[in-house]
Amino acid sequence: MASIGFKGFGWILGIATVLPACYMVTSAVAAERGRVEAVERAIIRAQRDIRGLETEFDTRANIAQLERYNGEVLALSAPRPEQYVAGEAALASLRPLGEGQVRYAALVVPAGIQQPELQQAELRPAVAALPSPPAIEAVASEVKRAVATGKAQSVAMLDGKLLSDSTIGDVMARARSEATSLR
Amino acid sequence: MIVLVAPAAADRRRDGGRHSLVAVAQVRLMILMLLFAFSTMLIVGRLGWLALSAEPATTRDAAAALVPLRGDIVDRNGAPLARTIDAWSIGVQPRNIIGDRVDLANRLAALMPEQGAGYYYRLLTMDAPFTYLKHRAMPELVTAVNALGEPGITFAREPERLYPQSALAAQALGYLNAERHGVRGMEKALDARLTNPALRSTPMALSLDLRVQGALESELGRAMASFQAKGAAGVVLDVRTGEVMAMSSLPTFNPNKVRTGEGALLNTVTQSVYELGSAFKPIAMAAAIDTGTVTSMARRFDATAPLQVGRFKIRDDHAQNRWLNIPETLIHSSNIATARIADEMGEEKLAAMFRKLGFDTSPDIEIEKAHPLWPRFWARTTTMTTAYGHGIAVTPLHLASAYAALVNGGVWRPATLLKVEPGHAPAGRRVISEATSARMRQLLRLVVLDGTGRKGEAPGYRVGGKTGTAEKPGAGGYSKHVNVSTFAAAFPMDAPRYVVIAMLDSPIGNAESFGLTTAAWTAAPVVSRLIMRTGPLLGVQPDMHRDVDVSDLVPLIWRAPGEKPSLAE
Repeated sequence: MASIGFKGFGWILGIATVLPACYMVTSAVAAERGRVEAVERAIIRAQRDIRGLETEFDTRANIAQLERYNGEVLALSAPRPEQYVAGEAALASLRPLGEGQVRYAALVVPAGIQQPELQQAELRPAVAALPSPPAIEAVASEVKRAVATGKAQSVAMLDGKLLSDSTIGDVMARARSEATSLR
Repeated sequence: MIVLVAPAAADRRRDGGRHSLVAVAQVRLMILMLLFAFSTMLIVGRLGWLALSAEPATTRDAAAALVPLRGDIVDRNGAPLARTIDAWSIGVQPRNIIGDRVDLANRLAALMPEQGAGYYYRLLTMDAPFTYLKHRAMPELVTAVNALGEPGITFAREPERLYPQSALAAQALGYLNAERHGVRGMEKALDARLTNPALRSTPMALSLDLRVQGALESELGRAMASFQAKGAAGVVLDVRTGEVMAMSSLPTFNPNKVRTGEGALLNTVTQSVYELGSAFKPIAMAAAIDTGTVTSMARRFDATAPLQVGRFKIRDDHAQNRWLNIPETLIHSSNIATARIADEMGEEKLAAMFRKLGFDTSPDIEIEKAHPLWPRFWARTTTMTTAYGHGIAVTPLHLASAYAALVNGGVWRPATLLKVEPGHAPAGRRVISEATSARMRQLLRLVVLDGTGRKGEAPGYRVGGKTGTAEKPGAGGYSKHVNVSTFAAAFPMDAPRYVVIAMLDSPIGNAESFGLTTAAWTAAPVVSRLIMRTGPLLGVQPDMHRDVDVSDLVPLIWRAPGEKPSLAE
């Protein structure tokens, strides 16, 4: 009789332990799945951000912009035909440049805007012909003005901040040191 | 409900009707209960259906949002040319504005200075539920406008077509209208493909190479500015596949911000027809060699004096006043000798050659194109003048395809702006024989080594080509000083890969060209610079020790006593 009573109790006990365990497993799985989905959503958000940033980067660094930089600052040119070697034997027989036997092809530097060079040309005689300390301020102001106009015709079409104040500060410092050395 | 079931006052007075009243009330209650039961069933059924059928929202739906509304266009290397982005737009609901409109208009004008305060005030006082203040606003601007704190101003993200390279290849790409459908260029040609939901996730690759396109536009722009030309056009074509590697027509426009009625929308390469002048001579010469009219390169034609045909007089620009053989005719670009060759060949063969090159139909390209001006009546003079490029007007793209056929072994292929996968080039049609093509390669190389195309040489790239300076037909006939200067070239000549055409419309001579407006001084340097810049990008390695063998033709070129043979250097 007692065993029958205990049997019922056993059943209840069994169910009472197994049910919460099962529930805990399912809820743990659901939580894990939720986390995975959150990560997947984050990945998609990141992909969208990447696409947006890529587009922005491509737009800011478009070919016309790069060519402007090259024309104004870098002045890189396409490699000359002599700079290509046909094979290993040609590479081995390569002689150093400067003996006069190398014929230079015309350099093709992509045309940029020529303004900065003009400014430099104006600037140089002013610095060279620096006679006395009172002129330093004049030179400094001239440098400032030249830099300011240079900034106005800003190198960057899209981002005027690329010519930072530190660059201008460098130019100013150089002009000052040149002036003191002349003194 | 109560009113419904309550017995009417008139019925209550009659005693006999009491029983029937109860029956009616019961029927009505039954109907009501059925109605309730039915609606409950409906709701339970719908809930059950939803529970069974609906799937939980997955990340797949979110991923679908990544697919752009309109597919991207990329160049042959995958660099984006057109993209759809989610841009901010700023709008206003004028009726919901609570602040001072004048003050708000002033502040908006300060933030968006491209329009005045009056313009914004008009929008703010407009009698409409909604109007746009600005499309494609930068996020910083949206933040600044939001900081104004006006509830009537709304922000939304809208898909916008962005061309990251702005004006580059604008005519080839085209642009969209307000309904986001392509109205020009490849945007129009590929409209169905780009908006197809199944295909729009993969970007569409064009045949253009962005780097070459950039170089072509910059060199053409430089020449156009320096010669104050009205316009310029250029095209780089792959001779093996017919792919257009670069196509540019100047002046150009910015597809991101199109103003209607702009003349720059015209694509000169495919939509303008020109009498291209001497650049046609190699085509006529190829026809003469291929049809057996000219069997020996040493055969001479009389160019001692201008040729009188009827009331026409054919003259030479650089008159040699002697008998010229075939290489000399091309090197000195003799109209007289070419006309004599064409006359001997006859209309039939020349017209057949032109037809085979597609000069009687619009160019084969996906975008807008013009129909060439084919002579209406072939007189004897027509045959003579078309041989040196007058009396027939074609587009620069026609010329590029024709030159590709002349140098690639004699097979004409349609030009295309779509990327051709390796090994899938169209079969094309044979125009001239392999042997004639080899001869043309030699002749075109000679023109650059020793003739009018000298300025088009790019060291190491074995350029061959022909200049063409045509007088432009104006109001009162041809004007002597207004030219269309063309240089048609191919490189490397020992195994041609690319055809390059550069054309300047009405250049004005400057110090660089010694005041000359001919193609040799204006268009040829463009090609030379372009090839030097882009040759390695296009996979042509410069080599100073290789060239096409022209040794059998060199002895045929007569030199004045004392003249230094330029080939020797």
